[in-house]
Amino acid sequence: MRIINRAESTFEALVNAYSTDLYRYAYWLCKEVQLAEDLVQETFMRAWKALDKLDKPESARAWLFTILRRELSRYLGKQKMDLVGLDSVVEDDPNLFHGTDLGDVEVWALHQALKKIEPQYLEPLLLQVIGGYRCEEIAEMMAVSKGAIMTRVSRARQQLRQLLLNEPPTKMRLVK
Amino acid sequence: MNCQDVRRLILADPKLHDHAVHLHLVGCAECSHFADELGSFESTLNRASKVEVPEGLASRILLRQCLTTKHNWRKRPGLATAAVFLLGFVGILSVFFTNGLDYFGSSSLEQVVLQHVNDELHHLEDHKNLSVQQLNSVLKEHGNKIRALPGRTINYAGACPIRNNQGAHVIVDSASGPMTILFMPGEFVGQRSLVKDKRFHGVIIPTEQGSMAIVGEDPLQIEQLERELRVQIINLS
Repeated sequence: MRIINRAESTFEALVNAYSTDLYRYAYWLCKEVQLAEDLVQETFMRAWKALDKLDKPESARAWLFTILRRELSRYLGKQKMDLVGLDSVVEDDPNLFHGTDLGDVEVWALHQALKKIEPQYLEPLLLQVIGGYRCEEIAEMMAVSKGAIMTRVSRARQQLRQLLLNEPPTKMRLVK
Repeated sequence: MNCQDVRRLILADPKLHDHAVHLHLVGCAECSHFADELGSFESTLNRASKVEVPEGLASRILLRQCLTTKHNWRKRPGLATAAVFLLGFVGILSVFFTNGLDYFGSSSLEQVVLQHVNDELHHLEDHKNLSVQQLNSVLKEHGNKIRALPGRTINYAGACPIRNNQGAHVIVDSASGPMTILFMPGEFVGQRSLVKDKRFHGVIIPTEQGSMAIVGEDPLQIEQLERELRVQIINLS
């Protein structure tokens, strides 16, 4: 009985600690509120059933993200979420960030731009921004090289910046 | 490590703690400026990524977990009882939200409205003195139009994200200070409801496109503005 109660307590702590981040991650990859919730619920159900396999509390977060990634792949009907040979992306221009100043009004524009980023770029970026993971950790989770992840997250940021530069957020502009 | 190397590294991970990168940034004004701009972008990106999480998500997950452990219920009748109570509680909450019974404390939309106003207090200081045409150029995105607001100054009008939709944030003056009007397309409510926190009073009104909130510090002025808007806004139900 004590073991079961401890498991329930652990599970509740996991839900309270990580359901928000997992939901946001799922939302940005599927872009549907209900589907994102369903995926997160399914993730936790699978986690509950396999809770005895979680031996290190510090790895719980990565473990949950891994389960969710599998759920996303399942729902999206893909074997893997990495479909494109991104290691062959063109040479990037890291100077793209020069000469711009983002203010509060840009949050919505960036929110919209995030919806346009391809999943293969978006996913590692979300793991970094929402999950708080470093490139090498993301590389391990996604089973690709650290260099590939660095390229993808850099490319994601550059795409976002380019979207903001090419498509000024007219709907967000203040009336002058 | 040259400038290009440093920029590639921090573009891949703006929070990177690398001694060589740090040393370069200290000695290179251009890269330091680049890092600052990227930091600002990252902060905005962080905020943009934080979509609102459905209220009660954690409770629903825990409820489902309870319901999937039926095989343990015979051993632990207390768990079954708790699950039934939790299910009932969630059901009652869903009825409240569905029917718009917003007088039972703060509903999610009420919280969103008050949070939005409190997060953007700086707009209360705006004095742009906009025309009705300028205001309507913002409102037309949501299918609304205001005929006129006689005797009032429009201090600010801008589009803004409200939950997962794009809404409009408008500030007008009143005898008791600035008042906020939030147009919230897609946020449908069953009936008119009141909102209140330590500073602000307000009302949420159903519209054809969703709902509209009026928030200010003086309840009498809110009622007055609501009467005016009901007359002046086209498409307001």
